Amino acid sequence: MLRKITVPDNQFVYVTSATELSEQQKQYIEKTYKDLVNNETMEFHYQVDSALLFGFKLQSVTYFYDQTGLAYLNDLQSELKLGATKVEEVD
Amino acid sequence: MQILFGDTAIGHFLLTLISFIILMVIIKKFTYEPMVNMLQQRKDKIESDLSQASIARDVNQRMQAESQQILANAKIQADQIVKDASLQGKDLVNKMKEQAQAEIAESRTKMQEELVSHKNQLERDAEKMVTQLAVVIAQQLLSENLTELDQKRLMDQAINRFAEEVHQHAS
Repeated sequence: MLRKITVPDNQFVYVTSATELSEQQKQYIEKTYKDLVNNETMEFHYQVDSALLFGFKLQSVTYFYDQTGLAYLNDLQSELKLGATKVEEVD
Repeated sequence: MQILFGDTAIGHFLLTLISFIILMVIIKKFTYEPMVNMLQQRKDKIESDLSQASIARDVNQRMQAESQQILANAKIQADQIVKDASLQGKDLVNKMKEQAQAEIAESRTKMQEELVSHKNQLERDAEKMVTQLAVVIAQQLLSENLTELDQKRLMDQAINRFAEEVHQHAS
């Protein structure tokens, strides 16, 4: 989910992926993000974290986007907990 | 006398009679009357003593009767006290038994409620643990079983979704 964070803009964008991104993938991500913010001078930093399982997450001072396996599992866990809480309330 | 009657039988008789009468008078005067008086006094005293003894006996009998009545009353009262005490004791025992039973029932209800509460809490904890465990297992399975091809496909999907969301956000 793409969320806008209400802090001043910054030139740095951090992209963390579960596996190494290809150049083509990096370019696509950069282009997409620059179109979003209308700024061609952004500086992208990449790193790999296998704990994310799959996918990537992007973080700048303005936006945060998380499309990783770990985020899926966290969402799943939250929904399961929420479901259990609702079952308790019904009981 | 001899002058009057001479030495005759009737004279002797009269003399003896007069002497006897005189003797009888003397005896009556100095012996019989005091003796009769003494006997009368003795009789009066005995009658008085007997009367007092009778009175005393009556008093004694009354007192004995009163004592027996008092004893009988005391026995009745004692029996009543024992009976009352026994009843009070039984009532007290019954009340204590009822109170103990009520306390046991209350304690049992409380324990059952606590057990149910603990059981529910354990079930909730178990559900949370199962959830966490399922996530961990899924994480482990994903990290071990995803091939490079899967990784590339999932990464492309993530990038495409990013692009879609960016376009949606921009529009």
